[in-house]
Amino acid sequence: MKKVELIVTLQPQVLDTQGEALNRAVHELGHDEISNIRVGKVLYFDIDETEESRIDEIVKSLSDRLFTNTVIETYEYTILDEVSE
Amino acid sequence: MKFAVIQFPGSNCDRDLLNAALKVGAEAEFVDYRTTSLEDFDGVLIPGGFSFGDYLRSGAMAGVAPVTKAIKEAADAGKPVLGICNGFQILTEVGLLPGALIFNDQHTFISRDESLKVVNNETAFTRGYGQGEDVVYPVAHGEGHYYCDDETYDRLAANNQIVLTYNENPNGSRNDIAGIVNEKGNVLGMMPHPERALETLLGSDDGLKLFREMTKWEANHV
Repeated sequence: MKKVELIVTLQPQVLDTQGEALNRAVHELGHDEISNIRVGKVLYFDIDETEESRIDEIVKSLSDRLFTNTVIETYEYTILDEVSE
Repeated sequence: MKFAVIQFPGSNCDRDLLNAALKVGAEAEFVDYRTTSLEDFDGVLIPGGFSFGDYLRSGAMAGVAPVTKAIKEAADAGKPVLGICNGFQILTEVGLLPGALIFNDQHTFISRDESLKVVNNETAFTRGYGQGEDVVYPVAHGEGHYYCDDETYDRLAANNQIVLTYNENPNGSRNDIAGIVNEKGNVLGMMPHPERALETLLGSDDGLKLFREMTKWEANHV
């Protein structure tokens, strides 16, 4: 059993309205040194597989089909340590 | 002509859409999202709302619901498929229409009457309208900004797939796009709500012609 961390973000050319609003709020707080805020999502899940190639196959298939919309989003994932049963 | 009105958990324009079909003399029935075949129907209507609570992304969960495979089969068979609002989002999610719907530019929910232009009256959905005719349909969406890359836009324009545009773009949609058809011309997605424009008493009956044309599908779709 492994744990997977999947990070989903909008592709760079896609307008991120939440990020833009946050940018403005942060500037209003006086932090002009901050810019280009982009908001994404993180999914964590357990997977009952140990073989890395099989995990890759499953995570990629589900990410392309459901977890992300590849027209506007991009994703990356990390296989984390063994989950203690 | 018998239409299936798909009901997902969170659909909320399903009754309006059923009413629209009945009003123009068609038959129509609600169909549960767990249904696996739409063979008994001549067309499919996918209503607006918030299917599956817009969890993850609007239309994402509906895109993998059992009925979606049947919707694809109906589209492949050349039957008319109309997706309105969340229905449009679902159609792009499953790849029946290109592009995607993202948050409105100002990130607010917009609910108001919108002036639109029928920029393609050669589809079997829009033959009842004049080319360039202005119509008023209500819009009600938070994620109605139509997004696509340059290559997709060029293809849409070249194939005359852009059907409806906003006269005053409310949400940042690319080239004012409010509705598009697939290449075959039998799948139409739009953010505005023609099913809410059926009575002059309620503001506009500009949506009637769309549903009337859909009842003449066999004769219209050559």
